[in-house]
Formats: sequence, C-alpha cells, structure tokens
Amino acid sequence: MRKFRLYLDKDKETAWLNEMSAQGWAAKGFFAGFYQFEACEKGEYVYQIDFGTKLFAASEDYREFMQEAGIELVQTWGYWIILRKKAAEGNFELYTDVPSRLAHYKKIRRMFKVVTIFELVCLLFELYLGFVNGVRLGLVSALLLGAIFVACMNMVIQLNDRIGQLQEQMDGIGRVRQRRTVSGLIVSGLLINSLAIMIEDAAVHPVKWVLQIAAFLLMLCGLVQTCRNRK
Amino acid sequence: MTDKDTPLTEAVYYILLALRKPNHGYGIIQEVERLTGGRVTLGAGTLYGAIQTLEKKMWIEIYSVDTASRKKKEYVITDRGRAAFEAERARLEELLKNAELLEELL
Repeated sequence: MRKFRLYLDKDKETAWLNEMSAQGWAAKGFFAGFYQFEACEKGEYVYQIDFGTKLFAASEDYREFMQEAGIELVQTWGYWIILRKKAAEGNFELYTDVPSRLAHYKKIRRMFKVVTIFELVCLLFELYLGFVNGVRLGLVSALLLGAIFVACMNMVIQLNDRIGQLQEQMDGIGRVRQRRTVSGLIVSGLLINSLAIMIEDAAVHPVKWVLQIAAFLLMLCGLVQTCRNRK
Repeated sequence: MTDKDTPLTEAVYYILLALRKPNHGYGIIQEVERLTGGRVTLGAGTLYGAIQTLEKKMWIEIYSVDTASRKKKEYVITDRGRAAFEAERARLEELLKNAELLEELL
C-alpha cells in the first residue's frame, strides 16, 4: 500500500507511523512524500525518526550501532532517518534525557531556519522576476515558495516553543524564563516596511513591492507568534 | 578541563562508569540499567550522541573492533575521562558532605 503525506513535524510523522503500525501497516520505505507500507501484525513495530548529520545517508558507525540495539534503519531522507524496532524487543525511545532532547530539537530548528531563509531569498527573487521582468511563471512559483516559506517559518516557531519548554525543564527552578511579549519578527517587519516606504521616491517600484511583501510576511508571522506567546 | 565539563549529565556519568571496563553500545545500556536498578534506560539516540561527544573529547576511546562476528565496537574510558569523572565525584562528595549541615540543626 502506498500513501502520500507531507510532514514537516517529525513528532506528528512519528505518531502517524506508529498509528499505522497499530493498524497493521508497517512503513518500509519513503520517497518524496510517498510512504510505502506492507502488512504486519498489529503493533508489531515501533517507529522513531532521528535527525542525522549527513544528507541522505547514515554513517556505517551509526548503522552498526542501531543494528546492535535491535533497531532497523528503514529509510534516510534528507537529514531524516526513519527507524523501527520490534515492539516485542522492548521499549523504543531515541532520546531519554532532557539535554539530548534539547540538542536534537536545536539541530532540527537550525535546519529549518536555514531552509526558511533560503525560501525567503528564492521568494523575493521570483517576485522580482514576476514584477520587473513580467515573468508570469515567476509569480506562480512565488506563490508556491510563499506557502513553503510560511510553513517552514511556522515550524521554526513551533520548535521554539518545544525548545523553550525543554530549556525550562533543564533550568529547573533556577531560572524563570522571561518571554518576550512582542515578537522580534514584528520589529524587523516594521523596519523593512519603513525601508520600503523610504525608497518610494527613487521610483524603483518592483523592489519596493518585494520589500513590502517581505515586510508583510514577517509582520504576519510575528503577529501569530506574539498571539501564541500571550496564551 | 573547562568549567563546562562539570556537572556531568546523568547519562554521561553512567556511561563513563559503565566504560571502566571495555563495553559496547548495547552493553552500556544494559550495564547502566543494572547499576540504577532500571531507573535509567539510555535511549539509542542519547547514547550514540554521548559516545560521539565523549570520543571527540577523548574521554573514551575505541578498545577493539570485533570483525569476526557481527561488528561490535568496544569502548573504554581514558585517563582524561577518569580525571573528569573524579572531578565530578569530588563535586558530588562535597555536595553530600555539606548536606549533613541540615541534620546538625535538628
């Protein structure tokens, strides 16, 4: 059986794979959003997803280590590594203490930050092409890139939450975490916006457009983050 | 050693202790479970990450690679690792000794 899903959140993906396993479907492969399943006994496997250090590969060392612990490497994709272990062979959790969990999520957040910035640069470039050079296709891909950008940005915000909670656990009672009440993203959005207004007289309209869209996106994300923090 | 090396995390503390004798990945998990009466079970990711870090710090080293059967890499603590462990032990002993102050008052 094959199923198509797009997950950015590895925790949700893990939960889904384990739910499928509980229903008697074991994931055995993944390619570009397509998960391949084969029938298994209900709840035969427990799935976990790790974040590696190499793209589309796991070191020999890592493979041997996991194999020895009875863990099977199902698939590597990007930095992601899908692992599974037979439920009968005992508990399967990858990260069992706060410091290692924190390090794990920080690595993931770093990746999403890089991707978010990369998407933003591409988005601005496509917008420029679309508006200045009149490339229609540029606008279509800008729409797509914009969606990816917002999704990745949202992921970074969610990871910030998770990392914040872990950090609080690690600090214990030693420190009460101070939360910024207004997101820094709003501030940077406002700055870019004012920059865009300033260059109006220079009559470089497309650049102004691009900057204002970027500012708008930043402010939108900042607003969402601020509202979340207020809760 | 830098200030950052102490306190050791619980995982690192027990991994070092488990490696007083040469041991391999899964052996470390079992040994730590035995030492703590099942309280601490190291996850594979936690252990793998810690081993990588400790090897880089040269607190542990590869003892042997068994190529005959299934490849099992064995690790063992180094002198530097022992020194770090002893420093942590001294810190913990100080904590416990000072804890007695609480009883004196009663």
